[in-house]
Parts: sequence; C-alpha cells; structure tokens
Amino acid sequence: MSPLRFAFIVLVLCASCCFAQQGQPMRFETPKMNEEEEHSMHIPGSFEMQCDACTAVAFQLTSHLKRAEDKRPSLKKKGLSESEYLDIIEDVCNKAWENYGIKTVNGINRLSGEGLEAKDVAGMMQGGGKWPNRLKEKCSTLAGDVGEDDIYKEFRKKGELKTFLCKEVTTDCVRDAHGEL
Amino acid sequence: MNQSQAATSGQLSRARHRLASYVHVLSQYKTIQREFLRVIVGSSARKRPSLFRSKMNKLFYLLGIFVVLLLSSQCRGEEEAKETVDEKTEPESEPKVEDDIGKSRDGSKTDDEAVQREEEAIKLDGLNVAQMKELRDKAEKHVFQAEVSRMMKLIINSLYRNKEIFLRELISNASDALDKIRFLSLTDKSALAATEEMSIKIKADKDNNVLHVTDTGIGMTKEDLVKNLGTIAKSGTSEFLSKLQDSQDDTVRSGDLIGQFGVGFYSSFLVADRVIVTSKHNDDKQYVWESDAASFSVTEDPRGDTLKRGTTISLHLKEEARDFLEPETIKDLVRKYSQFINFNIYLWTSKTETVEEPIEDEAEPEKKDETEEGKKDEEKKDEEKKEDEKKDDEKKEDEDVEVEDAEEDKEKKPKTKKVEKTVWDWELMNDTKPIWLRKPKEVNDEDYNNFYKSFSKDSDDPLAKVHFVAEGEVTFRSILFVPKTSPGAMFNDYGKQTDHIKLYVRRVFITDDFQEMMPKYLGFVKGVVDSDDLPLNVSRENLQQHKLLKVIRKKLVRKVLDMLKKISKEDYIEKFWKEYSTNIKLGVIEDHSNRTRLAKLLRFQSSNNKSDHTSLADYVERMKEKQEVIYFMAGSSRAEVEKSPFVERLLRKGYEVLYLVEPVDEYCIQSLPEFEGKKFQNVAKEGLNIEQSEKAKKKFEEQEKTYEPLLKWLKDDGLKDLIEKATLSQRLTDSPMALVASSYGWSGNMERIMRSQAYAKAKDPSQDYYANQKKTLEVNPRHPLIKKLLNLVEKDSTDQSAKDLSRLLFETANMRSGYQLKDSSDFSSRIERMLKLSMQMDPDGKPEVEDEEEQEEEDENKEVEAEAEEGDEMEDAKEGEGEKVEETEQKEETEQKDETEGKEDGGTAEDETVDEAVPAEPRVEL
Repeated sequence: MSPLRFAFIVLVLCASCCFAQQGQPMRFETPKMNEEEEHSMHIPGSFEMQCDACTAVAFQLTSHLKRAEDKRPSLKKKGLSESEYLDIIEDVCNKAWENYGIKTVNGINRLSGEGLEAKDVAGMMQGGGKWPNRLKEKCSTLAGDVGEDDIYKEFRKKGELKTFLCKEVTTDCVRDAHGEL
Repeated sequence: MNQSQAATSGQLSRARHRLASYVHVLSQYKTIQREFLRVIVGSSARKRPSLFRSKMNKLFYLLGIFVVLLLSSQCRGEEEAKETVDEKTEPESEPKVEDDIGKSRDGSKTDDEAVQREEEAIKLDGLNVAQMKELRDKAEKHVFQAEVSRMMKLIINSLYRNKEIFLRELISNASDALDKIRFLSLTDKSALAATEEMSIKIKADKDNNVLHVTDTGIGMTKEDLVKNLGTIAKSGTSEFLSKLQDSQDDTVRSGDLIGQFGVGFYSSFLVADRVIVTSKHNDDKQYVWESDAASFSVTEDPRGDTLKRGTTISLHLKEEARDFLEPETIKDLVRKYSQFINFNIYLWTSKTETVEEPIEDEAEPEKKDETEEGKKDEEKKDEEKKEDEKKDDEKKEDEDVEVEDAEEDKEKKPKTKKVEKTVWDWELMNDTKPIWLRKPKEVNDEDYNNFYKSFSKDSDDPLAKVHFVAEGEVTFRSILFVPKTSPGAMFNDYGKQTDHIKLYVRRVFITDDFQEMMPKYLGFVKGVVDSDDLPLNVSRENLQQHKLLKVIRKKLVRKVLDMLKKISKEDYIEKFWKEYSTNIKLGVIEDHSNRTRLAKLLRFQSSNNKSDHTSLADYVERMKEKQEVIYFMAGSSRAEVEKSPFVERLLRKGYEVLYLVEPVDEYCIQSLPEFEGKKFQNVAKEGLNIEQSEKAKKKFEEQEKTYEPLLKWLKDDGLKDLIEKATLSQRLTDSPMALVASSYGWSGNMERIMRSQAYAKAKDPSQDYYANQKKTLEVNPRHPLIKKLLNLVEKDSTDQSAKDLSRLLFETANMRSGYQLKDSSDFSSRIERMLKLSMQMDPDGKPEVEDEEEQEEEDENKEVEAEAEEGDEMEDAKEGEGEKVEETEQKEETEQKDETEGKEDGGTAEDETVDEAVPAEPRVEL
C-alpha cells in the first residue's frame, strides 16, 4: 500500500527532522481516518475538510493565475486571454494536488498542503492515495460550476478567490450554513 | 484603388457614350498598345520589370499624344485619366482588377470562347474510335478484388430501386476530392498551380448517352486509380457487406450505407454499363480507368493532361437510365441530395432566349474591347486566351456569362434587334453559402434537417439541433445535431471513437477526424464548426495542441448540454434518454467540470411512479420535510429492487426511493457527491437513518436491550467470522434479516457487476477490500422468526437448531440482499436437510435409485399442488425433493406439517426464505 508507505516515510522524516532540531521528543497525532476519509471518492463531508479543500483550490488557482500574469507584465491591463486562463485553470485542477494530504490538528482531521493552515502545524501528513483525485474532482467541479470566465474575472477584480469561491458561490467555508444542514 | 477604378469606369462609360464616334479609333489605339505590350513583355507580363514598364509608359505617353491630337479637348481629359489608371493597374494583382468585371460587356465575347473551350475539352472525353482502340490496346488489364465484385453485385441488387443515389455519391466524392486539394493548398500554394478552379461540373451528352461528372479536386495517380477503384482496403468492409445484406429491404438505408463506407463510386454501375474515369493528379500524368463492372483497365491518356487537375467520371448510361441525361432530372437530384455541397456545382445547360443582336456588326466587338480595357488588365487577358486560361478563375468567367445575359438587354437596346438563340452555358445549381453562416432565424427546420442528412449520411431527421455563434477570443459558428438513433457500436469501442464534428477554418474544410472536439461521452453529436480565428495553415497534428481548440471544445460541450436540457419533456425520455442514457451517466462519471450540468440531465425510475422516470430535481422537490438524503436502491431489475428488503420500511413510511436498474447507474450516483446539497444514500448500505418519533426511539432502544443477547450470539457464535457485526434494523419490515454493506463497500448490485466484468481478475488485490468485506447483519426485531431465534438462544446458546436456523437465515438474507452465496452446495444440502426434517423424515436418509417413473411424476404433481403457494420457479427444485420424499408416502401429513410450521413461523417468513432460496439453487448448480 503506497499511502501507508508514504505515510511511514513522512513520519520518519518528520520525526528525525524534529528530533534533530529541537532535541526533545514531540507528540504527533497520527491521522486516524474514518471510513469516509479512507474510502470515499469525494472530499469528506465534514466542514473542515470541505472548507480546506475549497481553500486549497482557491489558493492554487490564485497563485497560478498570478504567476502567469506576472510573467507577462505587458498584459497587465488587458489580462490573460480566454484560452490562457482556461488552460491554467485546467492544469491546476488536473495536477496541482500531489502534495496534499490529511493531517490531524488538535484532534480534528484537516487537509494539509500549500495554502492551508494545517501545513504549518507540526504533525504527520498522510498524502497520496485518494487525496489528489478528490481535490482534482473538487477543483474541476468548482471551476465548471462557477465558470472559468467568472473565476478569472473575480481574480482580476480582487486578486484572490477564497472569499468568492468558498463563501459566496459555495458555502464551503461558512460554518452556519453547515450547521443548518 | 477600387474606388478610383470604379470612378474611372464610370467616367469611361460616360465617355463612351459621348464619344461614340471616337470609339473605333480608341480601340485601335488599344489594340496597338496591346500589341506593343505583347512584344515587349512577352509572356511574363505579371512579373514585368520596371524597366519595361518605364519604356512602356513612354510609349503610352507618345500614343496618348497621338490620340490627343485626334480627340477633342474634353475627350482628352478623360483619356488621360484612364491612361494613368492603366499604368497604375498594370502591376496590380488580378483579383482587385477584376472586381467589377461582371459589368463588362466584353465578358460576353471571352466567355463564349471559354465555354467553347470547355465544351471541347469535355467532348474529348468521348474519345473517337481510333483513340479508343489505341487506348484499349495499350491498357493494363486488371481484375477486381473479389470483395469488390461481391460488393458491386450487392449494391446493384440492393439499390436497384434507388438508382438515383449514384449522382449524390459522385458529387460527394468530387466534393471530398476538392476538400483535399483545398486543404493541401493551405500549406502548399503550388497545389493549385494547374488550375485554381474548384468546382464540380456535370454535363449530359445526349448524343452518346454519356453523363460526365468533372471535378477539379485532388485527382488520382495511376496507383490511386488501381487501388481506390479496384480494391477495398478499408477494414470495415465485411461489416459493410453484412450490414448491406441486412438492410436489403430498406433501400433508403442501404443507400446511406454505401456513402458511409466510402464505396459510393460503385453505385455508378447502377445506371451505367461502362464507366470511364479520367483523372489527373498533380504528381502523375493523366490516366484513364475504364470498366464494365467485370474487370477494369488503366492506361495513360493519349490526349495528354486535358483535365489539368481533377477527375472526370463518364457514365455510359444503360438504356433504362437515360432519363438521367435530362437537365431537369439532374437539377432535381442535385437539389435533393447535394444542395449543401460547399463547391459550385454547374450543369451544362441550354437556354433558348431572345437575344438582342447588334445591328452594327463592327461596332460591337470594339465596344467590348473598350470596356474590357477599362475593367481588366488587357494583356493578361490576352495571355490567358493564349495559354488557355492557365491562371484564370473559370468561376468568374461563368459568372460573366450569366451577368452578360442581363446586361445585354440594358446596354445594347439602342442598336440591336431581337433574335431567337440557343445559349449553352454552365448553370450554377447550388448556393454554396454554408448554412451555418446564415442567421439562425433565416433557416427553417427543413433546411437544418436536410443539411443534417446531407453531411451525416443519416436518413432520419435529427433529434435536436443547436445553431450558434460563439464570440470571445475565438469566434466560431457551429451547428450541432443529436441523431435520432445512437451509433450501433458506440460502447464497443468507446475509447477509440472518433467524433463527427467537421472542422472548417474560414469555410475551408480541415478535418472531420479530430478526436478532441467532443468528449467521448458526447461522441454521438454530429455537426460543423467553422472558425475564423484558427490559422489556416493548421495541420491536423498541430491542431491538437492548439489552445484555442480547448476554448472551442469547452463551449461546444456546454452548448450541447444546453441543447439537451431544452429537449421537450416527452421527447427527452421517449427519444433521447432511450438512446443516450448511458452517455449521460458516463459523462457524470468522467467529466467533473460539467458534472452539475449533467446531473440535471439524469433520469431514473423511482417508487414515485410505476412507469415514468424522474429527474433528481423533481425528486428533491418531492422530498419529505425532514428528509435529508436522496434514497436509492440499485439492482438488476425494477421487480428486484421493488421487492428488496431494504426498501420495505422506507416505502411504508412514504419515502421515495430511486430505482437504479442499469449497471452503470450505481457508479454514476456514487460519483456524484451531492445534488443540490442533498447527499445520496444507498439503502442497501450502512448509514441509513430513518426519522423516528421520540416514542419510537425509546421503543427501539428497549428492543436493542432485549435483543442484545441474540446480537452478541450471532456475532460471536452462530455466525462467527461471517459477519462484521449484528444490529437491530430500522429498515426492515417483512424480512427477518438483511445484509448491509458498509458505506464504501460493495452493495450486492455492485458485487454482481464487478464479478461479471469480462476483464475482472479472479483475485484482484485492488478490489480485495471491497470483495471480501464482511457485512453488517441487520435483524428485524418484529419478525417472528427472530423472536423464535432469540428464545432458542436465551434458552440454550449451544442449541444446534438455533445455529442451523441462524445460518439458514443468514444465507437467505445474503441472497435477498443481492449477494452471491460463497458456498452454494453447503446451502443446498442444508435446505434439503431442513425439508426432510420438516416432513419428519430421517435427515440423513439417502436417495434411492429411481425406478417407477410414472408414479414419481404423479407424486410430484400432487406435492407441488399441495405444498406450494410458492410458484412456478419452485417446481424444478421441488422435483429433486419429491424424489426423496416419495418413500414416506404420507402426503397428507406432510401437508399439514408444512402448514402448521408456516403458521408458527408467522407465515411469511419461512415461506419467503425458502421461496428465495430454492429457485436460486439450480442456478448456482448450473
């Protein structure tokens, strides 16, 4: 099982690294996944997972779009062309998720990776497995539902996408909405 | 430039009228000028060096002075103006100069000549006797590949009532050939060196009963002729042959088939007993292919390269097919079948019209010369005449002919008389403006349908269509259709399927074999896409990489989904869903970014309605107030899922359950995380929580306590190692037990599907988790059998009959829940044992060797009658039992026993379990 092996390596690396740095043992919470987290095809339904996934998507889209715009300052005014941002969004959704995984933070299972809170918390991340695919699915669905054009328009306007994608268009990061559900 | 020309021509015509008397002189001057040019410039007029030009200019100037001396001062002014224009226009490229050529009266003269030349060229096709003889002697003889002969026979036999399609096929082939050369010319300008004309010309030669169809397409080399017209290289030939045989009664369909398989050419033999193909490819000489349907010969054309480029098919019509020589017949056929061909189709026709002949014989040609001078670069014209219009676009000349007729009336009136005259010329028969360039409002449904049929080679009208212009970074026009029937082998080669979108760039056909235009699941969509923004010099390979295509693709997909959404409700289920349900479901699985849109297109059966399908949106609308999830049950048939133990309680409580009866359904739903915020709940899996009142909850908790010992015993003793755990069920009403998969394990339905995958491995480690997952056993506390079992267990937990009963209940639950029994023979012998016991026989009694057959049969019959309220299925199984029971001869008693037992058990339970179990037995044993 590759996720397990991966997890083990990560654990060993993290552990050795931390030991070396701090010289004193640290407690890690090994992520214990429930059945949904282990086997579902989709991002698990918990508020934290949903919000983390949306945040990750927003982060990746924002940073890739920004990078593309920075590369071509002459375009600053006009913005990227339709085919360009379409290509970027498609690319992000397809392949930006290799380094995401699950991490237990204060007893709560969170997603961890670039642009997420859990990344900076010491702990063991279990990545690979189904996670990249789940995030890919989340990203594509979100992009398809919202529309690439609107995503880019919003990015041009605000420079970031999290509020738009995770609080306005979806309620992934609105706790109240989830409470009601 | 154009404006100044127009202005000049206006001046010219004014001058012409005013200075009629000088015209003669003027034209002479022009002739002189032309002569000079010819001498000086030679044949390379277009690349005239400036040195020559300056010399020329001087000459003109001198001539101009000469003329000036002759003309009045007024006239001189005009003349000079014209002269400067002449000087300027000479080096110009020809299209600009030709802009208003149509207005030239001079067109009349030149075009008549052009037409004559055309005529001659075509007449040559009918080769004279000597030439023909020579040709035959020299010819290489070939025999048709066996398949070709077979196919020709088949075509002739199956299409004899629908002969007329031959013309459609020939025009379609011609159009393909033209598409090819046009595509080639995008990257290789020299491809059109031989002639720039791209048209299809049909000429009926009534004297010789020959019909010629000529195109200026890519043409065929000698090798091509032998290969394309003598063999069938396509792999689908056998498929074609069998399909053709199948559809023999339906001539329309088989007519469409030959087009689809690219063997339309052979339909020529429907109407002709001899077919001659003359073809000139840029890479080879002109060859003549000739056949009488039995064999064919190929030889170099003794006439030389008369076609320049392209192909002429000459059909020597059979006597009964001579109607196809009538212009009206041909026109009708072209209108019927070929109106959407994107190249001009001309027919050589004659018109008897009253033409106004000039009275002044001399003045007329001069005038023409004069006008020509104004409009068109004259020396070029001359060369063209000389070089047999090497560079000229014949289309334009043809237009001239037409225009001329109209113009003649106007301009010649003062000096002409009326004369009856038969005029032969090429008559344009189609409007080549592609339908997708027209405004959707201006195109009626019939046009769309005809267009669809013409390019798709389908004989039915399309089911739905959408015609739109997409704007943005890439602007394109498109018409997309959903065919009425799905392609036959759609899922046999789902991965490889090519789509049916024809891609045009600026009206130039590029390819219809471009895989990326539609996602696989929309492979059934047919249509055209025409974009102005793609580069014309695209090759099919680099097209794939082109970013703009992604944009086009995205928009096409969304448009298609929009179109599907708009299909009327009745048509949607009746016509669309019937054909394409699997495509939509696969789309849900494959296309994440359009998943939400696709989910809205899904339809399923549901407990809400016996026959109708429901959409998910409608389901959500009907949901009960506190219902939070969408319930679904998957199985192999509606009857099966309706009777499943899992839906019992839900239905009784008034919840609606979706019935998923297609194999792909469960996958499809699983790949949907939610629909409008509602998650999906497979009722055969864990996680089902039915809303309960406080009272009911309390009662349930009490029951849980009561049944605690049984549940524990089942897990640790009775069904040890067989189940994950045992729980009290909320979902069961009539059944004693059910097996429930974990939320992410396989349901019975899924297990069945996975196991029956043709490519499934026996022990696939990646599926082990699902395949061998232990299930949760849910027991129905209200069921008498369970109560009984609880009694037995409480009395004595080692009771063998309790173990047997629990085991049997488990196994029947296994089957009821849709799972396969792991050990079916063990199960069967257990059933038999129980039966013997229930009839008070020795459970270990061995069967006897059969002897009295007749009596047996009698016994069986009675027994079945007596015993079974169960139904037919049981009979087979019972036969076996009957044999064993037979000896005991106490039928009465047996019957009673059975009844009493049934009552004890609460009637349904035992019967049902047996009911389920027994019919399964023969299946398993088979």
